[in-house]
Amino acid sequence: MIKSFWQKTKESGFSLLEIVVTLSLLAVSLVAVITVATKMLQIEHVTENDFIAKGLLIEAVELAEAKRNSNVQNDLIWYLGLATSTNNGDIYSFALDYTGTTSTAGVLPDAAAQLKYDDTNFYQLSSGTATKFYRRLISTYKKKTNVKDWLEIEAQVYWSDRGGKGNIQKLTTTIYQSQKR
Amino acid sequence: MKFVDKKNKQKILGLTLMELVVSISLFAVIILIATKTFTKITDIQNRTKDEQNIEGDLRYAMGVFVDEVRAASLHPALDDTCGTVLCNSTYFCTLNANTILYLRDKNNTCVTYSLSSGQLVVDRGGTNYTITSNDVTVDSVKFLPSALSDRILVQLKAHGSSDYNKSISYQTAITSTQVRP
Repeated sequence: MIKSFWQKTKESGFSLLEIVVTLSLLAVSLVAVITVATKMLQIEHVTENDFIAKGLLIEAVELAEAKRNSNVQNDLIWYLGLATSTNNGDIYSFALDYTGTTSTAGVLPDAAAQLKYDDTNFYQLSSGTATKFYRRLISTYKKKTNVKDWLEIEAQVYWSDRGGKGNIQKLTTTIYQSQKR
Repeated sequence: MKFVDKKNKQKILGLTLMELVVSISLFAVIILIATKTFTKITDIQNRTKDEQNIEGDLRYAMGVFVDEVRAASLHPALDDTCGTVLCNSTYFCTLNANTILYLRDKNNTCVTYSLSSGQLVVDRGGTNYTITSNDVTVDSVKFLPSALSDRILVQLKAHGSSDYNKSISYQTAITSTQVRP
C-alpha cells in the first residue's frame, strides 16, 4: 500500500509540537543574544554622550565665571548677562556659548538652547549642524544682609539618543560678586 | 525517509538531499547570525574600551592643564622667550592656528602645550612630558583664549586604537582667576 504524504508514519518527520518547541528555543536564544548586543550598543552611546555632556557642563560653568570676571575687569555690572534682576530669588534661564552668544532659554530641550557643531567651531549656538545636545544655565540671584550678593548657577545639558532618551545632567556652582584685582 | 538495508533486511532512517540542504542552510543562517552578533559585541566592547581610554586620558590631561591654567602668571612685557612678543602681558598665547599654547606657570616657567604624533605634550622649561597614552590618538587640539585672556577654551578630537572612523569631540573651558572676592 502506498502511503500518501498525509499518512506518513511518526518517524518520517517532526511533529508540530517539536517544531514549535525547537523554534521557540532558537528564538529565545537569538533574542537574548541580540538584546545583549543592543544593550551594549546603547551603553556605548550613553558613555560617549555622557562624557561629551560633562565637558559641556564644565564649560558652561566656566563660561559663567569668565563672564563675571570680564564684567568686573571691564567695570561693568558684575552680573551682566547672568541675571536680569536683583531681587532675592529672581531666576534667569539662558543659553550661553564660548563665542559670547546668549539667549533666553526655556525648559530643555528648547530650540534656543540647542548646540550646533562643526569641525571648525565645535559646539556653540550659532553655526554648524544641530546636535543632540541642549544646554542652558539657570541663575538664581541671592542676597543677604552684610554679605556680598551671589548667584547660584545650575548648568543643565540635555541629550537624547539610543539608550539615553531625555538624559539630563546638572552641575551647580556659586558665583560671588567680585572686585577688580 | 526510509531506506532498506539489504544485508540486514531492516528499514533504516536517512535524510533526503532536500532535508540535508534545508538543515545545512538553516544551520548556516544561525551560525552567520551568531558570528555577526559576536563580531558586533566584540566591536562594541573595543569601542567602549576606547571610549574609556579616551575619557581616562583626557580627564588626566585636563587635570594637569586646569591646575596650570588656573595658576598661570602674566607674560611679562617684551617676553619673546615664551612664544613670541605677541604674548606680552597676556596669560595665554597661541601660535600655529591655536594649536600651540604658551603660558607661564606660577613659578614663571615657560610652559608649552602642543600636539606631537597624536599625543598631547607639555614642555616645561625645556623638558617634555607626554600627558596622553599610546592607547589614544589625539587628532586635533585647539586652544582658544578669550580676548581678555581670562578664560581658555579647549577643543580636541580623539580616537582609540580600535576604530579610526569613530572619534570623540570634547570641549570644555577653564577660567583663570583674575578678580578678587
